[in-house]
Amino acid sequence: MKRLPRILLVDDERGIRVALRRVLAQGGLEVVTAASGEEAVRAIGDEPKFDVVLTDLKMPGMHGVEFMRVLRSLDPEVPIVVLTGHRDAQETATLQAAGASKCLDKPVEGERLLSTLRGLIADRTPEANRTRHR
Amino acid sequence: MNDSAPDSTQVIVLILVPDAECAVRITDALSERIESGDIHLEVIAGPVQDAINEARQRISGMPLGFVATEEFGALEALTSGADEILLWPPRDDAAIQGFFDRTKVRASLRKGQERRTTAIAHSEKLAALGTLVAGVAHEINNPLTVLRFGLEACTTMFMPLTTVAQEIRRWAIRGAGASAEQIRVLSERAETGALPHEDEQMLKEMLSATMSIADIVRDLRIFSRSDSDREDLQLVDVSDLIDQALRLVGRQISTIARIERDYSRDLPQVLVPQGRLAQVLINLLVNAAHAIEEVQRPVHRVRIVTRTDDEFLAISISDTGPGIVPEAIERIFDPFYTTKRAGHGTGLGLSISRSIMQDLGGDLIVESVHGSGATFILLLPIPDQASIRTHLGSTTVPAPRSVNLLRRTVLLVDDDEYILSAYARALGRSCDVLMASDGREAIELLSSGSHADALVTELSLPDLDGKELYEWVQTARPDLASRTVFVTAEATLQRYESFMSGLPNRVLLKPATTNDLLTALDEAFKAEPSN
Repeated sequence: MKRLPRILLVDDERGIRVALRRVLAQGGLEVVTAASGEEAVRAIGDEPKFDVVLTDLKMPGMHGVEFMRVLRSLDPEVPIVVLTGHRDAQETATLQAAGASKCLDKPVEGERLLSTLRGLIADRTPEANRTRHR
Repeated sequence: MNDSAPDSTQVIVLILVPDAECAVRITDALSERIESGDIHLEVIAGPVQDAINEARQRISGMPLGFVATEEFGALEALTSGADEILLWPPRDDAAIQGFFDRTKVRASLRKGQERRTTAIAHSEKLAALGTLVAGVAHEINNPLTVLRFGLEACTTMFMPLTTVAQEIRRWAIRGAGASAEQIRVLSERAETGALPHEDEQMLKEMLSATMSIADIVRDLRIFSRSDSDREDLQLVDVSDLIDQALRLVGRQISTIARIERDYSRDLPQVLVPQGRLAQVLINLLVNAAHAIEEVQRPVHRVRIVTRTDDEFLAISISDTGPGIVPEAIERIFDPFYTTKRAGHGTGLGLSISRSIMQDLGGDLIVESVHGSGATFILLLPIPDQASIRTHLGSTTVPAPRSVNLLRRTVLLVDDDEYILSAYARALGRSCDVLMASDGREAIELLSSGSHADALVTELSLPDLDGKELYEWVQTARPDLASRTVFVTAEATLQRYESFMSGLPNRVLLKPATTNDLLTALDEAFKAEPSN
């Protein structure tokens, strides 16, 4: 059986974790949630690799940008999607420099988020195949 | 002198002269202009500044010239707001013409300036509204996101469940049984992909998200009663208002920092337009949230402290952000000065906040150690009973806490500095306070002539304890003996049991509340008729 794409969802708001997890699961993704950057780093250590990491920015403890830095050192390849409440152009640039593949504003439509995630997963797969066939 | 009211095409000329004869001379010299309706002349006698203020109110915007026979009056007129002055007698006719021309030109410049000031004030208001809206939008976004995702998940679940329900109803109407296979297919279709408790949890989260939004809307009502109206004064409980402001924008802080509240008990209410004060609080809280984002620290704190003395109530908001460089401290209240990133502020917030506080008779000041954070202190005047009555009618005036304690001086003795200052804060609103850290210091204070009407002392003190202090008081200040209240910890009390058993005085156990202290003092004064 083909394995489902795996998403790591990091957000300190329980409501968002619970509701978004359902949306992503209904969209055919396997979801692991973490309530903080620290918890997410532990999850990355424990679990098999994730296909995409979806993270909030403003969180107690490790800030989203700091988490992305640590994440990059653990997995330089994994696409990161930032889901944030409010950002300006400069912040978007900072996030991209920190390794964010995509930034989306809350509240985002579930379908748009799903298609972004699917796009990133699809982008990775053929590339991975190419390297394998070379 | 022209008695008719001035019309808007005229130049108003106020003249200040030493005597009636001089007034006549000047009126004669200007008679042609008066008759042609070019000027409107008024002779004044009283203080220059009052005359000009009064004229400005009557004829706001019109050119206002001032004629005086001595330099001092002329200069005072200029600083009081006259557009131009003329020292009498003038050199020649050209000097008079020049005076009128300059009065008109200056008046038109002044009007332009006034229009610009109004425009700036208007843009400041809009900018302040922007800060508030951005702050609140941020708070609403999170519950909105929960609702959005939740509803999408529900929609996806709901559609197949509806068709399954219809199918079951059809079977029921037909009265036919279903095969095991049919039931299996239906149950597969009804599969939501989640465990029942997961869906229940999601619905609960969605409900609580709607509550969060309702709370925000409720708290927004602090703005509905007033905007800039100086008249719309209300008695405001500052602690409540801070809590409301925190509910509106506090999440921006609480997601990244610890919020510490240290509110002084028994804070007096202040008489302010509530919405204006809330605006300042929200602005400072949002600033604090932005500041702590600037630096990474293991633990960020935003601390809100309220304190009061006889004249002012102070609210301080401290953050653990980067602080302010010494060069910038002077400038942070300047309009348009900002250190924030683009999109985070217009640079108007602090300048508006300070001018609001100054309008309310208070102030906004800042303290900062660069590198470790900043503290903004709001000062508000404590209203006296008379102004409360004027604004609210006598029925709502809160009674003074204790008539017996008014204008009395209480000497507080405790070796714990923290406890001393806590007592001082608690009692400071009701009476004057003297403090000593042990019995010896208390005796020194009293024998050196310091006045005290009552004594509140800890029993256990280093060097000279409460018992010895009391024994000294009995001989040296017998009037104070009956007005002595002891405060001590329960454990200590046992040591003094035999001493206390013979005394009528009250003993309070630590921690004593403000009310305990006030009641005990009140009783002590009542027991013995005051002198």
